[in-house]
Amino acid sequence: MKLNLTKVVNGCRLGKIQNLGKTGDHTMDIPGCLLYTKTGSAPHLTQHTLHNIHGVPAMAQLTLSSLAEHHEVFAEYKKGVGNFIGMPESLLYCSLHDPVSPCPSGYVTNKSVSVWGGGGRVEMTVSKFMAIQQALQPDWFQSLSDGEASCEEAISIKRARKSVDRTLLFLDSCLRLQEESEVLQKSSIIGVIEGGDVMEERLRSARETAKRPVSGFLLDGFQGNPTTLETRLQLLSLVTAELPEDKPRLICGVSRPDEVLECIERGVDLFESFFPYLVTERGCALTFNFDYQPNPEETLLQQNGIQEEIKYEDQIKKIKTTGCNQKMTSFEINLKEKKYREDFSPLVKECSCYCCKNHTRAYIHHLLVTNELLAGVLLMIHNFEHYFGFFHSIREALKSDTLAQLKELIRRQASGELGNTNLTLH
Amino acid sequence: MAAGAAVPTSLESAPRIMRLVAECSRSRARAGELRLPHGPVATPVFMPVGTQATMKGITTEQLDALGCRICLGNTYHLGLRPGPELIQKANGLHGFMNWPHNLLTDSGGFQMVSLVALSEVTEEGVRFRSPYDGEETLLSPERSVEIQNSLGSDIIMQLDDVVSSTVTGPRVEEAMHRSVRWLDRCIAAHRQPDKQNLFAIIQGGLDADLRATCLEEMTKRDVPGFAIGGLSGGESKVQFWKMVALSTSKLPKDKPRYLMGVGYVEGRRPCLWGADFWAPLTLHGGVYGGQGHSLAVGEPRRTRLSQGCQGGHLGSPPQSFSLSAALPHTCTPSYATDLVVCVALGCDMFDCVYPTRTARFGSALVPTGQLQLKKKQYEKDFGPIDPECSCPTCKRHSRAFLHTLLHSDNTAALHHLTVHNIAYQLQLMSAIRASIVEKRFPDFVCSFMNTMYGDQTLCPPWATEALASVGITLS
Repeated sequence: MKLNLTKVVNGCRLGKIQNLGKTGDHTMDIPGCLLYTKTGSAPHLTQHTLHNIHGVPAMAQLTLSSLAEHHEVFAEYKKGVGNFIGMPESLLYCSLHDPVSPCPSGYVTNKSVSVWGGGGRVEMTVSKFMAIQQALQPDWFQSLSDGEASCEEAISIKRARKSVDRTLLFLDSCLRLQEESEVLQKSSIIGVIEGGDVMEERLRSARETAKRPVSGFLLDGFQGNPTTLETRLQLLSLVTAELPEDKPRLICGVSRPDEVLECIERGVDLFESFFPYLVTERGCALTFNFDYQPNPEETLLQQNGIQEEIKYEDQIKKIKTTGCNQKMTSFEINLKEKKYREDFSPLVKECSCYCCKNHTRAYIHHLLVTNELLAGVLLMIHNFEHYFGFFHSIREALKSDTLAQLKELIRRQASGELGNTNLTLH
Repeated sequence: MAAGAAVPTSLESAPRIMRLVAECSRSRARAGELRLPHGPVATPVFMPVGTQATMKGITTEQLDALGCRICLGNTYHLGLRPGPELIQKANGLHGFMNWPHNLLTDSGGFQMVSLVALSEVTEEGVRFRSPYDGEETLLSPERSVEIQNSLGSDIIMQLDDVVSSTVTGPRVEEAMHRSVRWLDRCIAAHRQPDKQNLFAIIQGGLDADLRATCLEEMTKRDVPGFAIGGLSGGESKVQFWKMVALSTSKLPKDKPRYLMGVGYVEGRRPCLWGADFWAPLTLHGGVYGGQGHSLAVGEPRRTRLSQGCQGGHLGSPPQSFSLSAALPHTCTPSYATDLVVCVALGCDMFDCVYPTRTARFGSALVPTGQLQLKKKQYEKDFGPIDPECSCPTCKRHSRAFLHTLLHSDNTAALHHLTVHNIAYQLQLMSAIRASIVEKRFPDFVCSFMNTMYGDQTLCPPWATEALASVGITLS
């Protein structure tokens, strides 16, 4: 694998990762995102509907939390998880946890880490972890890590230190076991940067991890409440400054458009795409504009979109199942609202996704009101495509040195300054 | 009473929409082609049921790719949500759901009676209370046709006076005669006979005389097609096939015969609501499956609408819910056997929710019956559902993968099975049709029974009898 940087602009890295995959002929663009999956499948989507989407990333994210309990099946199958899930052509990255599901704390020991799947807790020592990876044979996988520091609000220095120590120990053990495994020669280990909010520990983690022969870095523990993001962002810059330029930097738990941009500016390359999934699950469609080219129509925004959404936001109960904020954002519209009942326009005008080319807001509204399964399918198609389009626009903006405009456009939408009813996309 | 019924006035001679391509020389099986406003349809045909303007979790593009050319919508559901006015604004049901091929809508009568607690049938129509806003409405023959006119479906059904086949006595006769009168009212009210084909529905329960009378009367009306109704509701299989055979013996050959809602298995509980819905923001806190197993015991969030079947299985509405009742059917059903036998008896069109519904319980249809893919035995079964099946699910996925996915909360698992089960049905009908055209239908039937039951002699007695009655002997 080779990371080629085309340019670096204000901390943002634009480039390509080449020679990826078992055959060495895949490429990934950075900044970019990974296709979010649940138990090896894009949520709600079969191969057919997944292929309806334009711009699906070359690499999909699998989560050990959904797969670890099926270890024996993979071991017997022998042909790797890519073949098992019916995605032999895709690059695969295996993360430890699912960014959407909660991560109960208090279960990491010096010898093991636990994940939670449908069948309950699966405890993994390094050897079990590596045995599972042997059975899965992903292209990339994050090393076993102690990420509990990020689950807690105020972390003690002692705990932060422990998370770094343990994670390095786990990493060294994983690397050792990888050397002994023929099967895993073709897989790449991603080192995990821990340390909570403690700067010294974060720097230590970054420097030490960078000394190991890892293929990339996962920045763990920078997710969480938007209110604490500012502090974490400062730390993020310091951390990425310690990392080699020629290896990709992934971040977990960060997927909102505004937060994505902040992280890209601080040297992050790859993101998870669970945000469009969350939007789908609340019956919403992404409509935020990422077309930052000056456009006279932009000044004729309809403001009526904002009022109702703020009202809705006040009314909606915060769902506690996940660590992520489940409230509706201003990047989306809620198709359950009565005003969409007779709206025969597509979700987003000029969006070329399968949903927008074939269906109307009124139809999606009907599907949601009647609790029909197709609502999830169509919204997922649209939301993924919209989100992947956003990443494309980031890369384009970097190419043409116009990221500032894109960032401003996103910032204004995040704060609700701009109306959300659909601007023209070019 | 029927003799005194008025002859329909304004309907000119109905078009012959069915072209016979081949007939089995022994049995009553026929292969044909329906000429419908949204394109031709080969018969015998299985029509998947897309109740609320959607084929559950699969897109119209997927449905088209499977070769489906006609599917069902339910007038009762659509009439309430989103309502005929909205659908009309959306360019009819075709426009609303973006389905380029044919649609058949039922009258709404059946759901009315089976799903609604307080419905009352009078000569006027069926009076009921909407489960959504509590408003009282009357579904009359005129209103049913009016709604279906707005929906714009290619085939529309008369409003019939539906009575369960387990009911006996004067009510059955009353319902039969009333259905004839309602047929005439539907014909009179139908505003688009050139765009939509109105089918009559033969009633008469399990009484041969009543059914014969109904046949005699209704066939006097020049409608483009006939449905055989009032069956698949709890009667025994023996009674069932005899009524089907009686009906086909008296229906005109040059018009299609639509057997409504076939697929009720003898001894099975009335099917209950299960994995129909994907509900964002559920009380459970955000995780949705469409899967039956994710429903909590006694979970009250279903609407009344969701109880019972949409396709015509119900004996009587279920009284209470429990998780065990929502589990997949534990007997060995063979919906496919019903289809094959009824083709032999001379039926051309079939609908049933069973294949799509059972998919959402994790059950895959195969030539030997069904696979309950959630069961442990499939955990490491790395072959496809059916190696002979050419559907996208079988081409790419293994039983083991589907097993794993079914135990997750990813609804994709259900969609994979829905695709397969529809493909199975359509492939079965194709195979049946080819055998009729190639003059080897009786051999096909024997071979089919062999595969399904391991031996022809193990075929259920009712089916053996039914086949024998039309000249097909299972050795």
